[in-house]
Amino acid sequence: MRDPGNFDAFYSGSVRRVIGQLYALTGSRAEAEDCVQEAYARAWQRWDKVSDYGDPEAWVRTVAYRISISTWRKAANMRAAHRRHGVPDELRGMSPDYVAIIAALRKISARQRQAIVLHHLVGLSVEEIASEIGAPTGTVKARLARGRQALAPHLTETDRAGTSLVPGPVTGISGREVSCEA
Amino acid sequence: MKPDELADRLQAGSAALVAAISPPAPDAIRTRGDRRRRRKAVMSALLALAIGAGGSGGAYVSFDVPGARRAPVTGAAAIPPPARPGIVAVTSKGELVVLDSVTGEATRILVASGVTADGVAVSPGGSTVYFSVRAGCGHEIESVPVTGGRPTAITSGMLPAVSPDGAELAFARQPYRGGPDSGAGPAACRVPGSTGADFTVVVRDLASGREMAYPASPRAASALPAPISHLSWAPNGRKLLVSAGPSRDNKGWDLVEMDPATSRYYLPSGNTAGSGVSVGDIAGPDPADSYYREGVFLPDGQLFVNQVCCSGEPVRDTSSLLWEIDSAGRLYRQVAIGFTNRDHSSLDADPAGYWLLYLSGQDLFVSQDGTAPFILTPGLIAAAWL
Repeated sequence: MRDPGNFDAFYSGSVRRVIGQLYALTGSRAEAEDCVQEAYARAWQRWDKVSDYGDPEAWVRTVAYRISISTWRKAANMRAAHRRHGVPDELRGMSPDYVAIIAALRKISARQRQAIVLHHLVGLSVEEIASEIGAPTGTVKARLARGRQALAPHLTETDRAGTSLVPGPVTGISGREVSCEA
Repeated sequence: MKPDELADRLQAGSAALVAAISPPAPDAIRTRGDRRRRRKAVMSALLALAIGAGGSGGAYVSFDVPGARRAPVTGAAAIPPPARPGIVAVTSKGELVVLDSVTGEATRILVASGVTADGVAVSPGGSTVYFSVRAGCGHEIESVPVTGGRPTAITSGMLPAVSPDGAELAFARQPYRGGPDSGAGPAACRVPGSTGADFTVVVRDLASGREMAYPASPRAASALPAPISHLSWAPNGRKLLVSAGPSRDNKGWDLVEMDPATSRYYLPSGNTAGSGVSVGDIAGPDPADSYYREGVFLPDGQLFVNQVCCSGEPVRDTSSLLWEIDSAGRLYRQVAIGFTNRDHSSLDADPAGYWLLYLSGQDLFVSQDGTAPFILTPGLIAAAWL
């Protein structure tokens, strides 16, 4: 039996946080919002089961991330988002420092980015990340170390430049251009 | 950058972003999820149809007989079809629930446990649900408001059926015989050597509590037990359709039409005056051996039945048909071909006769105006329209 009140409380208490996490993972705010809303809709669709899970938020985050890496859905969503919103206002509400970090995250591999976001933003331990993404702990440790290593020059370079921290056209997980051309 | 510094900057930046996000309201997300559920239900139904059409167990098909009794209404005089009513059902866990008839999802639990199979009925206005629960070695009929509340005990018995005016309750009073809803200790409750005399249809005046009992006829009473499996009132409230049959093989299943005002027995005994009358001849490829497993009245006086072939021993059913027929047994239209390895029970029509439902095993199937039925939800042992 699905309890709307229970779902609403869960949704209201976690949706912003999950969108923030998905934004860091995908590099696109519009896409993050679309994927997270879709993941919550799927959670409500089977809320009688999902609500019994130990960590429904992890379920939503995982589903949202999987949705985001669906190429077909990505293309369809971008078209729909463009129709609905025009060019997305990606940078609204973000500090220049955060924009720089997100720009740097976009330049490393998707797996390394996933490990870094789950560890440093979401706050999961190596073991928890391994469980969530279904990879050995050694692999997670390697992705974290190499990800930080890959990230360092981009952050240093940006910091040292001291100029505008707003990135130009950048690439998302799949290497396609995302909508930051505004 | 040190790991701690990276974490601090990520979290601080994300916190600022999160504060600026305006997500949709929760009900908008739930609406989106509900749409997904409905789409999934439709896809499941289509898949079930596709599997049924190609599977070995039987196909679900539908066809109308020429000269349909319901004239099509079109053009300016067209009347929109009746909306699909809600459904009250008993789950395999013994819960009495109200179902969303579109999604198949339980929206309200009326009774948490102990409700028995194929024994749920709804008052004419849809305000009260009648059901049976195990009570010792027998059953007890209770009622509960459809909006929820404390159940009220009515009397001992099972298989309640409310008359169209809501004034009378027909039910079966018969020995406990085990079965899927038997719970603990069926052997201890079984009545050794019970005969047809132990099985009775009872009609109770709900206002006064006065009861009239209709046993099997003397000839049937001395024969093997013939448990009653379903009861259904005619739309005018003057006739009662009794589905009854043996529990050990499929010989002697009967669909009997009795008049509570004049009949003395619920099972017929040849030409004895006052007996019930078996419903008409069965049409089909092997009429001699076919039998009605269950039947109910439709609002226009026709019958919605499950006709099975073939009777006899060893039991080996080769067809199970869901038909609409007239009282002489003439086919009006075929709603479905059921699975031969399943029981088809809880046959029911909504007050307009437009929506049909039945259980195939524990799967609830719904048909719109006699067209090919679709599976709505599994895991039920009884169901009826609200």
